[in-house]
Amino acid sequence: MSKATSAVQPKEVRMSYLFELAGSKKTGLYVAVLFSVLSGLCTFAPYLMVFRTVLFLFEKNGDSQVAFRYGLIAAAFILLRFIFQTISVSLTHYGAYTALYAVRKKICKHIGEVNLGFFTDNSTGEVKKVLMEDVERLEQFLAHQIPDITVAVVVPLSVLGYLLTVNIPMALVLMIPIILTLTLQSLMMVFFTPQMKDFSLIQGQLNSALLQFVNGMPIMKTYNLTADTYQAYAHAGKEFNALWKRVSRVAAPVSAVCKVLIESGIFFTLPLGGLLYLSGHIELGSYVFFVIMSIVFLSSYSNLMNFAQIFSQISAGLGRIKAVMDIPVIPEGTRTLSPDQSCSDITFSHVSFAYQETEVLHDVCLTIQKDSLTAFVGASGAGKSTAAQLIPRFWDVTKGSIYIGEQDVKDLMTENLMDTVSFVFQDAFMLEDTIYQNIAIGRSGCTREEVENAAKAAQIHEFIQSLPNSYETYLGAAGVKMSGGEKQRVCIARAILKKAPIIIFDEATSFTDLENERKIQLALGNLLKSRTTIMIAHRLHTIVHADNICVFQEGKIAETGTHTDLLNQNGIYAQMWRTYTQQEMGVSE
Amino acid sequence: MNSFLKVLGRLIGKDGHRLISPILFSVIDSVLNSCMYGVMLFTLLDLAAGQFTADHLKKYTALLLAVFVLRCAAQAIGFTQAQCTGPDISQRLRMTLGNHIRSLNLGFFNQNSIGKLTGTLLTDVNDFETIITHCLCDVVKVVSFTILALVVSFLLDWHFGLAIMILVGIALPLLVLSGKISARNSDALRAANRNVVSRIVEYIGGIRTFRLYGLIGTRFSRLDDALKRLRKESTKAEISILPLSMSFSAITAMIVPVALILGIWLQTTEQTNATGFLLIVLLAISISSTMTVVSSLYPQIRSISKAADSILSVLDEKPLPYEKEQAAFRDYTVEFRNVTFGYTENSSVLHDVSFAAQPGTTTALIGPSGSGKTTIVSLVARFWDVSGGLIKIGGLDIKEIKPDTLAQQMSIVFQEVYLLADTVFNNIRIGKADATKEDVITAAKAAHCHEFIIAMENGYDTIIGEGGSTLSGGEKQRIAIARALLRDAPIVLLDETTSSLDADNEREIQHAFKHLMKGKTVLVIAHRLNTIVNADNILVLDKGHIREAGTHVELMELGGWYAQMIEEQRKAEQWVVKSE
Repeated sequence: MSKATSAVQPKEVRMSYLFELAGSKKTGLYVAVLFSVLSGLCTFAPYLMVFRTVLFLFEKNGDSQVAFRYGLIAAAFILLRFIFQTISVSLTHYGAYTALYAVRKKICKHIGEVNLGFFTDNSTGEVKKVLMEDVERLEQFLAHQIPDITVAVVVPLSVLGYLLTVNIPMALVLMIPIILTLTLQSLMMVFFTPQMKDFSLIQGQLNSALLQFVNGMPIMKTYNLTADTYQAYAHAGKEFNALWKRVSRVAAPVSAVCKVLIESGIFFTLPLGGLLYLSGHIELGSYVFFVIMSIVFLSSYSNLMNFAQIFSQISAGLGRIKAVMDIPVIPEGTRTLSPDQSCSDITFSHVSFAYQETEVLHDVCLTIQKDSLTAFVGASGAGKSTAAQLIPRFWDVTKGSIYIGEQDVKDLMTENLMDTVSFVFQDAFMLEDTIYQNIAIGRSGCTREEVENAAKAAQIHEFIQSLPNSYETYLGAAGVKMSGGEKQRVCIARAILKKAPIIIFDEATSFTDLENERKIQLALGNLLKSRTTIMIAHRLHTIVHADNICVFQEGKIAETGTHTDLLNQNGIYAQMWRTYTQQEMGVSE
Repeated sequence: MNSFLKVLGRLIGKDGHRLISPILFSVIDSVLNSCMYGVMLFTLLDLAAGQFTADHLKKYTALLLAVFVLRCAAQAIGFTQAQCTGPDISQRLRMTLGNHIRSLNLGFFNQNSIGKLTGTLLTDVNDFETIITHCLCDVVKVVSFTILALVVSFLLDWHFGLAIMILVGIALPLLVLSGKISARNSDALRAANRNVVSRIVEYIGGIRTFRLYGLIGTRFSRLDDALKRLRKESTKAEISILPLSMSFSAITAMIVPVALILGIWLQTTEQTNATGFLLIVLLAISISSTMTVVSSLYPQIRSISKAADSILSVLDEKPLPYEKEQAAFRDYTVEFRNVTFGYTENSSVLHDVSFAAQPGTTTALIGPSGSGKTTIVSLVARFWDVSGGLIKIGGLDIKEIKPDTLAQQMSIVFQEVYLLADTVFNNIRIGKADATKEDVITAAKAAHCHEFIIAMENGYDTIIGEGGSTLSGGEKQRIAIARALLRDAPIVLLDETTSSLDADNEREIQHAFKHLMKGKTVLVIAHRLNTIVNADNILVLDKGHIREAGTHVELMELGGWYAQMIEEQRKAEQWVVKSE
């Protein structure tokens, strides 16, 4: 029983990590940003034209043809602005989703190569969350924030540059709202950073309470827990509310003021400009110009308002992605076994193994003769399954080594090692696909005939043929449901197809259908023919003829020998055998 | 629109009036905002007429200052109120939904609906709340402003009013169309997303198998294909509506140049004066920026109605009907009378099933998968209602009994044990709310889980379930048994585990089951010969029919399917693995 800690601990990361992950195709992004800056600049043109027209009005004796032209120019710029924007948005989204795909693919490849010790009960949910939500959030950054930020910085700056050439004090006074907003927002960030942690914590609690309430509905109903009386449900919501309100009372007024500030450029330009105009320091035209420009100058800046908050969410997500990517992969070996060599003895030499902190195997030494049948027995948690899973390197040993023949399994290329070992798990895993595909993954490029032969040998051919679509029958939620025994026979067919010289079979103790058991046994008989076999056994009668029985107890091999040897020793195995036979006797009577 | 408002009213509930004040404040804010433009207008007029004096400047500055301060106040108060009302709305929605969900038929809870329900509780409620608090004010503001602006435009000059009407009239349908397309796209996108999620779960769940058969990363083409499809659908969803949404923005932005040209024409033909011209231009700027707000509000309104729809679809699920608040059971005999049942109208899972399970006896249900064992047990607990026939408990039709009362008569231990993310103690104690520490420990001892519990780091206070310590399947099941023991209900429904347990664990569970079953009406989906052989009545099911019924001895004498299966089993037991 290991204390399951979260497998994904977020790390501090910089945004450049994102580009590292997504690959280096940044050209599209640059072009997109350029277009979005151009589009941002075009925003000002119509206002410039408004200003020109107003001046025309002041002059009273201008040519109205020229004034009409102002309107047309404004219209042209509006058209350009949205053309540019369309181009930019298309490019950024195309680029962003391509990047998301690349990142997801990388993560999937990576988690396929990590030490399997990483996968605990919780990790599936966490990895799913990282792959779906955290990666999806990057889209915000790539497709929206990068162009938005660039526009919010470049456009006002270039306009400011122009405004400065018109009138320095007036241009500077327009900076006041920006500076004030920035200050307020930084203050808010200082206030919020400690709260953000509480926030995601409580949000998490609320979500898990909601999930529990729905997932545990049979429990809620049979034990009379309502939304009001199931404490966790009502409580989590209340707590979330309390925190939200506490934060809102501070944050809402501040962001309200920021919003007003951003819309109040005129509050600064009109009085100052008036003073300068009256004292003759600014021309009429420039004054009018500033008053009109102050409507629009700050609008592009408002995109930046929520920037900090979104940014921190994204970088937290990126942190979790990095945490997954930093899980060490099992280092790849370089050597390969020739077909001859792969039919060799398997040797455990002083093998110790620890899940996280807890050591579950201690200094195990063992030789498994080639072409022999070895049984691993012992109570659950004694280490028998773990020891077997170390052979195909689902985990790496903490100390010691495992050899196939002369080769340490760590030195072997993964592909070669996987070709050498077959493993039939207790919990038969099925793809949501046709039965044919489920068997055919046993060996790539196998023929229809080979698949059917394997199915026949695994005693599942008849069953498959009885299905409406035979081998093309779909399995899974929408398709046919098979019993545990039928699934395991499909797995055996898969393993038969693979023809690996070493077979590890994890026996299931009981099956939904008793009638299945006999068929599984026949299937196994076909699978295990002249191979090196390790059988993780729960029903002792099946292994009485094994060449060697290894009795595991608390992470060590306590006894080894044949069935008769071990009974004569009158030790742990003999005791197990007595318990087992008593139970079976009770049944058979 | 009317029905939409009705929906809103139903979902917002009695907190609705608390939204009035923030809405008022936001209207006040937008009036104040117009004042700012008014000051600008006067300034420009003064400048044009050469009447701009220090006195005027002082007056305008004071006015602007007042507007600024008032706007800050109105925004701050209104926004804070909206922000604080939102969570109350969502909390009440969550409670209403929670209690409603609980009253539903348990049969409603399958993989599909659970996903939908959690989605509604987690996402839709939040979406609804956020958008309600954030955009309700904006919507009111935008709608009232647009109407007002149109009226003023027509009053100013009918040409101008007509021009704006035409532009807005062309633009709005484009926005609506883009919303429709994006709804269609988002269905495809959601399907692509679901596909990726199920591929990821498959990938992680079968990682050992995939590694064994060399199907990792890109070589696992099923996942790769799903990811590619997601990329395609996401890109399409974003880009395909661009032409429409951009056209909307471009057309509404054209209001300003149109106003300029129109204004100049009116000015030169002397149909308006300088004041009129400036008013037209300023009005055009305001309307065009209001339309920008519309284009960002519209998708939010669409998603709010979507969220509201899915919340309502949950609320509209009908709870189980019943007639009697209280029920007096004669005894706890469970009786099936000619029960027929199908999950859908056309398919039938049980055909004319009749049997009676007496108190103090054990009825074992056996048969191949899909034969109807689980269905029978689910029907007793009224996860579903029968399509034909009757199920009676102690002489009462279970359809007449209040579901809570019915549930209280039963202890259910199924294969998949659900543990709350809570302490071991609380997980057992939910069996009986007022149980003492001693009661819990006694139950745990009887269920043979006391020992492994005290061996854990924090004993009974160890957190288990999601995110906590992991327990083996056998341990989980024993905790569920302890729960059921504490409850001590007269009817026991069991599904024996099929997952592998070692001999020790198995014996412990058998002992625990024995405690639980003593003196009760027991229905057990049996997988173990031991349980079957010792049952008082064995029902052999096949394709929804009871094929054979009786005790072990009777069925052996019958020499039918049962006897044959037992024979197969004996052969299996003699089988040994031989290495050749």
